[in-house]
Amino acid sequence: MPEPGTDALWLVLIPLITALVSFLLPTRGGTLAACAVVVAAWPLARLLHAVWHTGTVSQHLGGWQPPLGIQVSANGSDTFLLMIVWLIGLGVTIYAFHYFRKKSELFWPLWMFLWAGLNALIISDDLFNLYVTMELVGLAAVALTALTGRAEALRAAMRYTIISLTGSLLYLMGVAMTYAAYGSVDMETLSTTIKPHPAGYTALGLMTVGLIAKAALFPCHVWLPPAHANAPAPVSALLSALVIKGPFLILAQLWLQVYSKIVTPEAFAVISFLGGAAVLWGATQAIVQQRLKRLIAYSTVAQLGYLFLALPLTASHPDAWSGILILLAAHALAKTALFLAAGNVLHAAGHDTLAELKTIMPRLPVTAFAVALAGVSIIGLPPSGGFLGKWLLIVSALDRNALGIALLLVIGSLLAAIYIFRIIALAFSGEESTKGVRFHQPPRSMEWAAFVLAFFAVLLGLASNAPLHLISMGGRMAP
Amino acid sequence: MNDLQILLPLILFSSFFTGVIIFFLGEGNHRSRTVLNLLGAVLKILLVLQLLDGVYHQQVYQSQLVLAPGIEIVLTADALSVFFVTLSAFLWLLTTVYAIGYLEQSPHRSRFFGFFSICVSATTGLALAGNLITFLLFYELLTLSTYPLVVHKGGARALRAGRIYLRYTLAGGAVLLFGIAWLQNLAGPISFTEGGALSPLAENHRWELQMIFVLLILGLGVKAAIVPLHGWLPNAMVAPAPVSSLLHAVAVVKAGAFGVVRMVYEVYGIDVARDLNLLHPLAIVASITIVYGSIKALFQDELKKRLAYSTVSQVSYIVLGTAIFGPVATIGGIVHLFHQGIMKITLFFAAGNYAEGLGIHRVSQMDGVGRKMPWTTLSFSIGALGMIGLPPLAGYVSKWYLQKGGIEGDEAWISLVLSMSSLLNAAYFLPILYRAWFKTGTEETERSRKRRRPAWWMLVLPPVTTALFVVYAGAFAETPYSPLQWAKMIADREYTP
Repeated sequence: MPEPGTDALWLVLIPLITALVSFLLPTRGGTLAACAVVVAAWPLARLLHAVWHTGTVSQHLGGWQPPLGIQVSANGSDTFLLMIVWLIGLGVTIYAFHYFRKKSELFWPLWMFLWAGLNALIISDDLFNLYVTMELVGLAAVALTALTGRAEALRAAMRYTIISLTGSLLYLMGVAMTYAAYGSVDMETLSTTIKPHPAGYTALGLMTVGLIAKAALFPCHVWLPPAHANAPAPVSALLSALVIKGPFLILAQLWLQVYSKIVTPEAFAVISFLGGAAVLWGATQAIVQQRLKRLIAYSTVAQLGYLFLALPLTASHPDAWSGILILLAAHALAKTALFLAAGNVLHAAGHDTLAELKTIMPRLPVTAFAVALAGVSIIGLPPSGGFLGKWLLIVSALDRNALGIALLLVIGSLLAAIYIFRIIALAFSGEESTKGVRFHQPPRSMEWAAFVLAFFAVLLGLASNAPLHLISMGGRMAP
Repeated sequence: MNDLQILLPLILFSSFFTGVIIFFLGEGNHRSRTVLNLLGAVLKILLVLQLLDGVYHQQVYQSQLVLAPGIEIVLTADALSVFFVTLSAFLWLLTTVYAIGYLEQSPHRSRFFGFFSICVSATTGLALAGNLITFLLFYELLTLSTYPLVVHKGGARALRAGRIYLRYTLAGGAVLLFGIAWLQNLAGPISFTEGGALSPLAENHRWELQMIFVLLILGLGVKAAIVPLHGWLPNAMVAPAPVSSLLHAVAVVKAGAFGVVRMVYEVYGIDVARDLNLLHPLAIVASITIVYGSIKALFQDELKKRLAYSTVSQVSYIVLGTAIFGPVATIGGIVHLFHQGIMKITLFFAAGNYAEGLGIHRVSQMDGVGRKMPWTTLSFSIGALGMIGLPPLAGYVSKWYLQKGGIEGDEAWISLVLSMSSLLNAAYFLPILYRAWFKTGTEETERSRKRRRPAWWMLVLPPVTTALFVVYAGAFAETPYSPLQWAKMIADREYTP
């Protein structure tokens, strides 16, 4: 009987091995990836079982204890995230199986690298490993963005590369400085040794700026809409739902755990302010977009803003971290569904100009339903994961007299309703003349993959007892 | 799980699952859809009847589902919720029959009936909600499920109405959410309690409770179409006739009014609300709405628009009855919840028949319709006379109790508002009746014959049934199973907790 900690490692190794094998067998990429997703369910289930009963599960690579060796661990929050990543991975793999049937064999190994990187990022416990995993995710993401090879996509990918590498470099400098000042990169060790000291402030500052750039927080978001809007649909989904959440999670860990002793309320106020600005700016930009995929991409800017907006609450309120994680998961599921649905629309119409989709949407009822369900969660209407997350945050905000945060959460919802219903209204246009309009029915699996993920986003708000319990296992991340 | 726990979810799901299954039925599967619709509606009525009997005998029904700490979905059945559920169950059956006839041959019927059923489930859930968060959940579900119905016809006009509808209702929902979150923050999760739940806080949190009350009423007032939050309602009448009927009688508008009743009696408690000086302003707002709606109705030539403004006015009777302290006014307000529903649905059914049968949309075209469509016009007349408050029809009973409640509550000015409203009601309804019965149509309208429809009876039976009920609820108000007796029972339980 292996230790439960190895299950967490298998979640990194399975996709990594698959990625390497599918480089060797390029025509079998889809099948291999599908197998990998199915096989990964087993260690994930075992990990869930272990964490549910014992709290945190950890493993030392090669048997060396930190600070010399490398430690990985998974608590309840980590396991919850691993499961969400797996679920989205399953949906995207099913979708991409048809989407990339005849083209882009490179998608599969890159997606497997990305998945391995994400899983490793979630379970890593030291600052340097986080850097490595973040680079793995970042490079895979950049390559995926450029997958179509079109000029627009290449330009966007170039911009993304520059931002991503700059961010990583800043982060690495921060890590180096931390190591020089405190002699360790292990997060648990650091959280006890860090004291208010100029080196600590500088290191945290550098890392924060790097992570903000990579997470596309306002005003560093400009690279995101072109990159996410020009990628193929499954890639957009992965980028928007998962990739940008990585830097956010690292930042949250740094601020709330490792450096919590030196983070001042003013710093929290600044990052919360940027989050609020992102909510407003992203939503208003989404409202005025003329293209479906750009609209969804700007929605990501806004939705990401919520996470930063509510970050200060986690320092003082026990429910806020649950709220943030639920909101993060609900957004990931709903955003994947939206981008996959947009992929269906592109498949059907050959373009995604909103004004000209009036005759297309009524003919894609399953996709329209997927958009509606995902939209409910994005807006934050009950009952949905988006609502539950927002409700937890609003209640904690009012509890801490943070009226501004509570108001912004509500206003953000109203703005989201405006852009979401711009899409939904298309399905009710009542115009169905089919003459002279291109229409290719998307495969059933692509339509239903989007629908099921959207359904899960809603379900998260109804069956939330277990997820909330899981998140609280093994100690909340926030103090 | 015994039947005390299972009955309420069954009532909820009898319409919800009907809706979900209908979505998956093919568009051409006309027969199974009809059967399923009627089956769901009849099943619901049977279940509601059982519930009615249980609640009458002081049986306590409750089921709950914990979503997260502090978020519980609670369904309970008290006298007030059963009152509303009964109304919605019966009118759902009639409207379904009507809609099946009305939408014959039109496209997207699966979509329509699916959302229609979910809309009814949302109304039911809202009625059975046992706490604020459950109420909010169904309140928003109602918004979402009615949108597709409002825009069902498609085209620029319907989509515009849909946009306006969403702008009002989603903003209202957000305000309500904020109010509820604030209240929960102050007092913990709040269950609806007969007699009110906030009396322990009234001493120390006066201004907070007042502010929250304003937020709640603003949020609910949008759906209840309280002036100046009523702007969406006259626009929403582009929806197909069955939708307008349901919207005005039980679903959206009534949900708002029902919410106001809940907040005043079962969240704040009527005594607390009075002590916080909340009732008087509410009564004034309701009175302004009553008069304003009637005046606006006077100037509408489009029949459905006139009816829509009439709804603006009439629904505020409920709010007014709630806002006057004293059991008699309470009875008047609550019984109007039922009476307005059956009267207004009669009128909208009839308006739909004129449009479908004769292509008549405007009051000015209605000369001589009485002879062409006697049953429809008879029903319309009964509904209209009831609205005016002619004895012994249902509207008379409501107005009588409101009038008396105003005097007992030392708010004699209410009488003035009510008589003014009755005069205005007469002024915008009687000319229609005169045209319909006593004028002969122009040559053109005389020549236009009734369009042949295969199932015309499905359009005539519902208004005739509801019209009969308008007579029954008025003439037999003192018999044991009338709406009035039930309203008396509710008022009794609110004032003697």
